[in-house]
Amino acid sequence: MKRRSLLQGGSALLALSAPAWPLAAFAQGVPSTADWNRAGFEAKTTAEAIRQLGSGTPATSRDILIDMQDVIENGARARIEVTSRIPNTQAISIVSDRNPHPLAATFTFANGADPYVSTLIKVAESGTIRVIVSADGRLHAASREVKTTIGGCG
Amino acid sequence: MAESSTRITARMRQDFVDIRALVMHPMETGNRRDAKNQLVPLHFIQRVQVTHNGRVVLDAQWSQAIARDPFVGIRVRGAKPGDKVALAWVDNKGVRESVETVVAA
Repeated sequence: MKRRSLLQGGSALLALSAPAWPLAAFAQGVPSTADWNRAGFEAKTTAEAIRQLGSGTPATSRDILIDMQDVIENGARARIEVTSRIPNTQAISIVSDRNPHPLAATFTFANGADPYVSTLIKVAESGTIRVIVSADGRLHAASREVKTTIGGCG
Repeated sequence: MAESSTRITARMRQDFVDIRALVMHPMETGNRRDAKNQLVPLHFIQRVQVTHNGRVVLDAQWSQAIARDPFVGIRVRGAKPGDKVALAWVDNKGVRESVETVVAA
């Protein structure tokens, strides 16, 4: 217990002394929850969630590829694979419009990682899945309509 | 913590290393009810970092909308067999876990 509180204290100090989120995020060592995007993840609408990802309205892009099934059998485990072809992609966020909290995750890449991620998300009900890409300080978006047979947020 | 464990693999494909990780974690949304009809508290991984030879290649922030027993797959350039790949996560209860592997040919 003592070790854990020391670690958390250290991370909090690091976050406070760092000038901006990306630098804090790439500080070496253990991941911290101090700079977790609470406002984004607790947003109840897609519009508010996207506002918490950056400034400006995302531009619709054909250079974001979303690979997932059109009909999701089990909304508790929906496979999604995202590839961004937008130069200098820094982060990929996944948003499910009909979830109680639409922002599902943000993946930030560095040091040779491709702007690609494969994961499994919960999709509450049929609706729109959006991917928001952050590149050179600008937001880009692509979306996909999916149908769920069994919802996944219970 | 007995209820969680993390597995990671890193394998060379043509010109990138394919990193895949699986974490045993309940990822509770806070909306589910147990057998006694009590709400199960929110319990989810908030932050995940993957490093390649000590340099962060992925920094992820998650919500409870990542599926139970989370899976994540990424691709990293400039890696070679024998390189070290590590993953560390922390959840909203402050539970942490980290694992390390080496890139397989």
